[in-house]
Amino acid sequence: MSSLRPILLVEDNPNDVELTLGALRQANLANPIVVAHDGDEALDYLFRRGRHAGRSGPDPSVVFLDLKMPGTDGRQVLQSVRQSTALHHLPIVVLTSSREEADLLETYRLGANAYVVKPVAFESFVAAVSKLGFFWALLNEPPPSA
Amino acid sequence: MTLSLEKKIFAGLAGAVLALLAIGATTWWNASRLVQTFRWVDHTQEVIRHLGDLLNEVLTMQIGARDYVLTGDDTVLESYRRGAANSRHLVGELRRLTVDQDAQQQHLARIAPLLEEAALKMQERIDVRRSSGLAAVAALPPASAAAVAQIRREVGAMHLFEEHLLATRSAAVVRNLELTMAWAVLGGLLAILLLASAAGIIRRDFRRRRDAERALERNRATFESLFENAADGLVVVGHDGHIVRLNRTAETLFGFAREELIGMPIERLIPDEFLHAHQQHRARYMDAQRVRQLGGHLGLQARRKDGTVFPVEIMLSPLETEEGRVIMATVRDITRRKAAEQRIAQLNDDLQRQNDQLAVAVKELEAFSYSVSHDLRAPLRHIDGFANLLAQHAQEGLDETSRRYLDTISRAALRMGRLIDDLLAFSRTGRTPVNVAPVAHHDVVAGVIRDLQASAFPAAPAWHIGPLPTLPGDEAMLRQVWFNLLENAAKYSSKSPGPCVEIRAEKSADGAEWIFSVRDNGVGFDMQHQSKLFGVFQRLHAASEFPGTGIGLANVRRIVSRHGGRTWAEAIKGQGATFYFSLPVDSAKVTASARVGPAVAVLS
Repeated sequence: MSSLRPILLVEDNPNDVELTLGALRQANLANPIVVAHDGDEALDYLFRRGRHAGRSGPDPSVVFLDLKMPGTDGRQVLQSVRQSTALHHLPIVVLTSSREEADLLETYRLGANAYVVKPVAFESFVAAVSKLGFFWALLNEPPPSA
Repeated sequence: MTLSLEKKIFAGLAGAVLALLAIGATTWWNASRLVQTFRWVDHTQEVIRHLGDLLNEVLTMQIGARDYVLTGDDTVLESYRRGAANSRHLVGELRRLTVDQDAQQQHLARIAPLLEEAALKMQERIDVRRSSGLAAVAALPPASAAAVAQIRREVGAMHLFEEHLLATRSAAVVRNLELTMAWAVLGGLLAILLLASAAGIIRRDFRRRRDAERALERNRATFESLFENAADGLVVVGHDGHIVRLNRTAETLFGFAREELIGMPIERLIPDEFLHAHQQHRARYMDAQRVRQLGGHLGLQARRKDGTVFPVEIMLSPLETEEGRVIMATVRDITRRKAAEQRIAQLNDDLQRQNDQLAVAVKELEAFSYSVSHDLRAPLRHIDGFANLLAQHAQEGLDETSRRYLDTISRAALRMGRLIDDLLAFSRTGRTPVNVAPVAHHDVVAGVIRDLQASAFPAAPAWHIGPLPTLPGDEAMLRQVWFNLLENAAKYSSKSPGPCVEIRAEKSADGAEWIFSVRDNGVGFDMQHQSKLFGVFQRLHAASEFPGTGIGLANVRRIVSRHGGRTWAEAIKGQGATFYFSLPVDSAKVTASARVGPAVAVLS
């Protein structure tokens, strides 16, 4: 089981973390889910440094990334990942409340693989997150791990 | 080949002169022939006279001889001798005179021996009378009468010939005379014609010259008046830099009297700080071939008599005059324009500042709407999410009332989510640029109705669509307008029996815009609330009765107004409503309205 690639959820809001985890649970995914509560923690995890120095195990199959976070925000995480040679191809799905055109344009420009607006209605939210998990963790063939 | 009028006249005159010369020559030739003929007539008359004389002399000779025979008086022999001598002489003369006439010469050839014969016979009788007396004479053969008679006949023939010649020559004289006269008359007439046309041409030229002089005078007067009354100061400067001429405006402008200015060096009118540059450039100005504009941007100034300076714009025009090259300076006082420009610059600065402030306001509004979009939605998601989780978690532990409460919490959260989404959409309508292109409204309406028919209403209305025009606009935005209006019409008529929606368009009276209308037979509204219709979140019906957020018509108004159009509505409560909007025909007007700018659109 440990060979399964994890899903990294980057989300500062605990409510959203809980709802997203609940939704992913309903999708019956076997993949472990790692939560980073801000951008710095996410980068530490991805680049195996700081608190996550010496982390073993494979890179995530997908990162669900919130845009608006205190400190290092989603854009900066996206930028750092895309600039690195090791994680350049890591699938990143932007999961946000914003439907602003400017955000859409910028995150795609920075190299996001998908952009999903979190629905307000719980049912739709659950459906969206399960589908995302199912697609990215199971269906999608991730790039070979470095 | 075209000839100028002048050349034509010259050619005509030359032709006439040549004709006159020809006529003169002909006349002269005719006249000389006439003289010649006259001479011949004279000659003939001389011959005739000589013939007469000859007969007389022969008679004289005959009478002299007979008188001697009868009287024996020697003195009468003298007339015989004279007659004989004269007769011989006359015959000689006649020979000379008629040398060209063979017939006459033949006559004379016969006359000469006859004359000698007669003379011989007369001499014989005279000699006999002298020697033997009168009686002896009678015994002599008949005297010279026969020869004399023969001479008479010959002379008569000659006379007749000469008479005939005279008649012929006189006729020739008359003919020549007539011809000469005819040519002379012709020449005279031609000369008169020539003189008349010359006089005409001279008269016309004179008149033209007079007209030209008058026109010149008028032009001069017009120029004088234009020069004097020009709105700009006009100063003519000679090559030596002294003022030659000026107009009234220049007097007023510089505060000098005309007499003071004439002959004054132009430098007196130039402030000291410009003097150096002016002296450097003056020669160049003088030699310039073309008009030179010294615009207001150069910051040129001129000096009045009292020493005050004022901003000017100067135009230098080189003029060639009889006194040589001069420069006409057109001096325009631009004090007021400078002031106006300053005011405009001030206003522009103010506007720029306001614009900057507006841009800041827009940025703030965008930040605001961003945080609304992002931060306000998250708690709503949480409310609905956790209400759902609570329901799942409690399972059967919840009673009916608790479930209804949780349901209400969820629905309230969702409704607020929709309100936020609509509000953001409304804000976007104001900020999104309007892409103007021809929009076929008939196609747009047909498409919207297809979409609406897919959505569920209690009762779908019957659609009646009139002919709709193609007008400039943003198709996506106008599609939103039609969607909102038609959805409303379908929604509010869905509870009426036989719901029906009519869509029409007609051109305004002035032809500048089209007016679209959507009429339904639904619930209508009270006209006293119509001012609220197009406001944001304003609703005239309960959401429980007809669902909706109250943003649709606000969006309609915003989009239509960004197209330069208007929106309004009419209704009778319970009997349906008609919504109108207008769109301009002219795409320029649409573009102008759309360009009003995001700031204004967001703030409105």
